[in-house]
Amino acid sequence: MTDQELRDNYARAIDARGDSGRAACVEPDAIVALVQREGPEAARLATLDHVMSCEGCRREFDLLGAIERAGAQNSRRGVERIRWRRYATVAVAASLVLAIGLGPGRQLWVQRASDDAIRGASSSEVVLIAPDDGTTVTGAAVFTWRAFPGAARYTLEMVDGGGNVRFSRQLADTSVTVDRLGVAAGEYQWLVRVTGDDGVERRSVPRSIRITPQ
Amino acid sequence: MTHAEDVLSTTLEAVVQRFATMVRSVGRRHRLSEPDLDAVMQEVRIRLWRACPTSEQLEAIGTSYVYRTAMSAALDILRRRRAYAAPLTDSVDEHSRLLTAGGRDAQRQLEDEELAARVLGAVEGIAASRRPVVRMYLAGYDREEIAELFGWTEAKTRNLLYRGLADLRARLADAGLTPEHSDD
Repeated sequence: MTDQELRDNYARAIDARGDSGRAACVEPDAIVALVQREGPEAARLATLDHVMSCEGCRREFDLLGAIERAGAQNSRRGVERIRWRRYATVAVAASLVLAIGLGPGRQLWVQRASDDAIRGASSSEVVLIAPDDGTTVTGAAVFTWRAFPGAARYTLEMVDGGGNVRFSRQLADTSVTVDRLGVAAGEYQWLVRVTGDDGVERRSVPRSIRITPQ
Repeated sequence: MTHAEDVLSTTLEAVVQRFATMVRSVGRRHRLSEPDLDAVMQEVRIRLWRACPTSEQLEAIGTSYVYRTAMSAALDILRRRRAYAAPLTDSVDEHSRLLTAGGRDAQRQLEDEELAARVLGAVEGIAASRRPVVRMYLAGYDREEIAELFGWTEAKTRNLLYRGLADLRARLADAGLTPEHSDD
């Protein structure tokens, strides 16, 4: 049986099964976790197993997946625009430096190079914005940090007192709303790791956060 | 409508339509229901209108904000629909498939349904580690989409899928569904 015949038969079987109510279906939040690649792989595989055998859940998966991909695509475009602007600026600056350096403005060039080194040091930090250090969170939480030049991806992490990572999510964006953190109530540290397009990883200074039961 | 309201309305529509177009472009490969997307974008329109009372505020918001609003709106709509047991709307493809099936010879249709049920039964017997991947592939998604969903390499995805489909074919053969049978 060819792949196409298998696909046709599978589609026919799922159609024939019909809509027998949604009581046994996975929660919409689980489908969101699946499309956002959030949570343990085993749990996401179990969600997928149901979604691909249930017409109702599969349509929800397509809707949420399309929104997620549109968001991710847009973030990538934003990063590419920033990169392009950065490269263009560097190229123009390099041309200017070369022109001035070859001329009588060598002293000025030395001064500019020193300024650039200082600016480079400040921009190498991963800066967290919200929640503030020591915030108490019940239920949903919005995490925000500054865009890092040349970031390929961000990883938001929550670490417990023993140094164990209790929550981790990879993102292309600099802000995320987490409906369910899935961690026990208690004191944690949250931080953002940035993986640059040069493969180098940087970390923010962690902030403390208190999670209280809903 | 005042000039300010008119500008606000135009800006809001432009923001919503820009994102809707992106969702449509990435969702076109599958049976993304247009009425479902319309319902989500209508909810997004209302939420943005509440959050940004001036066109300047609307112009200042990033598309990542629109994305988060859309995801949250979609989630709320799905939860509401499930609570009231309303099905998602049927796509045109689905209706045409049902109409086609309705015109078939009854005996042939019965045989097709029996074969489909046996394929589904064989899929359900595949090892749990490979079954979701096989299901996704059989539901019409390609290898790249599976790899992207799990962040897997192309090689890992290909290997899992290859083994899963081989397992499925072995189970069908055990059930007497050989390639010759399928050609009948």
